[in-house]
Amino acid sequence: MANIKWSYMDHYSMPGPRGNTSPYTSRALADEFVKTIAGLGFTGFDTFARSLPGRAAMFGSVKNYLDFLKERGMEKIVGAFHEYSYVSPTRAPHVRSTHDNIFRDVENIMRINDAGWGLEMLITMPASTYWQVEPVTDEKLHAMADIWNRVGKLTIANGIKTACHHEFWCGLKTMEEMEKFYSWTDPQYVYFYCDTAQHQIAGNDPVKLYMKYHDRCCGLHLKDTHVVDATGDFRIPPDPEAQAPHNTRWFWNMGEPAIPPYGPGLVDFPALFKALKDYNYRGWVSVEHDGTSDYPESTCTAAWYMDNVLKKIYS
Amino acid sequence: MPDLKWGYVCQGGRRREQHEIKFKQVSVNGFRGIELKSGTNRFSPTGRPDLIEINFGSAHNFVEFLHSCGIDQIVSYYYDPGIAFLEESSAGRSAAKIEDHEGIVESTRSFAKFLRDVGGSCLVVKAMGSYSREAPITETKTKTIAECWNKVGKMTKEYGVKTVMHINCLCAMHSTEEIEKLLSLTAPDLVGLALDTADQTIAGIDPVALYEKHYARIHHIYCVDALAADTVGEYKTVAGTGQDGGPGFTGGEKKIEQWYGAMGTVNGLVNFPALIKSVRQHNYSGWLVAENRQMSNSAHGCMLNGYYIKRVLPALQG
Repeated sequence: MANIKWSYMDHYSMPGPRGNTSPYTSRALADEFVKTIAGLGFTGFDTFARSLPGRAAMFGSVKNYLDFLKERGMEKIVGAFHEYSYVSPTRAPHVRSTHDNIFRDVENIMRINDAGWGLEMLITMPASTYWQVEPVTDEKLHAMADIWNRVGKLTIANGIKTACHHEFWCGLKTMEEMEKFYSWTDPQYVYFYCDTAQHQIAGNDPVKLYMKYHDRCCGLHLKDTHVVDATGDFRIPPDPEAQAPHNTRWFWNMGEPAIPPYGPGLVDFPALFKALKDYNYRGWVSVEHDGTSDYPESTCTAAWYMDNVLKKIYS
Repeated sequence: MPDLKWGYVCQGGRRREQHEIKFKQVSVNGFRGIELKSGTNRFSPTGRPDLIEINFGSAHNFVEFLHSCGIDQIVSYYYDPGIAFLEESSAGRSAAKIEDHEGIVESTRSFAKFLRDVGGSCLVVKAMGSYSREAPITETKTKTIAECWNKVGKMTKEYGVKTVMHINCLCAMHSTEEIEKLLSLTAPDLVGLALDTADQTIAGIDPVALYEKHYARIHHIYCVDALAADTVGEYKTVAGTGQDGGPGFTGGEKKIEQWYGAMGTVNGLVNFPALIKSVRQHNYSGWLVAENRQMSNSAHGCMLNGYYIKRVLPALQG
């Protein structure tokens, strides 16, 4: 039995009759999309929690949609992403007065899951965007730890792990901030989700992070980068990922050739997979593409790297 | 029964990184061999053996590069005599013109030698130009075309390479009878046929029936789906004047912009399960070659073709 199962984060753009489009513009496009991802060897999808009701409606029911996936070689939706990127008056993880609202939101996701989704993870940004959170104080970190402990206790009772995914621009991104957060959260309830490119851009070594939190790591997003945020874009409003003043692109697929002006990608995937092997990681690993100009092409390149490099290290 | 051998047509790309991405894309989707297409000048780094030498240093280097991308071998080269090869100061040649035969034989020699050197098996030749350029078909013209490919086939045989004729959906030679006539005028030990599931279907020919009848002469098969058939003879109109053969076929009376699709396209016209069954029954030992034609995203098309050969066909065959 395989130690690692491969999933694909399903934000994607594919060719449609009127140009590039979301795969869920129509069932015909969804059919092609699922087949192409399954054909490359992926057996799971990750998606956004907010997409789940619409997905079920499009196919008539959760069961219909999951059957649709299974007929094409996929097992399930593994993880659902849920976040509060921007602070709002009613929802901000570092603001205690909003915690009941956040908790009710997750209760609602659990009710959605009860329709038969079988989710294994709720993947969340533990903090909103850095410029709306700073200064990142211990008090704010305690507040974040408390809400995610509370949420994690709820989700684990539903068979779902709450896993924290640290964007390079979120208000919980430095090694020191993460160390405090994870020491103040209960390992039974709050897990670590390692996004390789996000950590690399933030100036942290994703391999060392995995090794440090290996016992709490329940999943990984594999993507690469050629840049480290040396200009402090992470804290510049309004949207450091999509509207950074010094950078128009942060993410690349793993396995991409060194295309000028960039050299090879910065993430050491072989070292990461050696670490996964050393720590006997068993579970899902997700391939993700954020903002590539050609999703099918990037996916093929990453899948080739998955098959020909990573699986030979550990599978 | 021999295992099916799946290849993919690869063209385009100018930078080494683009080639790497493309070849890895093909290999990860289950295709172990590639077909190259003839081209000219620096816009086509793999379009000719001498261009491969300029861009990769040697045929050996190119093959090593392919191996590093997970491609086992070069299967074939598609040769279009109508290309104005700058390297030969050619304005484009035609098998229908006897005065062009010597030039075609000498031009194809380097391709045959290359295929021998890299272990490739087929030189696929565009048998004849499009209807707009070379109609009408006459007895004399058919004989002249056959004679040309007999000469080329005799030359490629010296290198251990087969010459096979490809007839696309815009070709002046169009019907089963015309194809069979051409085939009958070529020597079986020198010239074969490249079956094209899409081009034959678009032209109103059942590719499975054609294979059943002429399997002994068919040494190369293109597996591409057809989304429509040309039932009103649009290949004879302005719509059929596209420069790149079948993929240039758009618009026209039926306003069809896309005639081709990946294998297994919903409502596609080609019966691939029947073809594969027949191919196995006749112990076909050649390659089955998929290709992106008229698809807006080549990676997406490759992925769809990959899903079909990895998941659909094996499930149908049990």
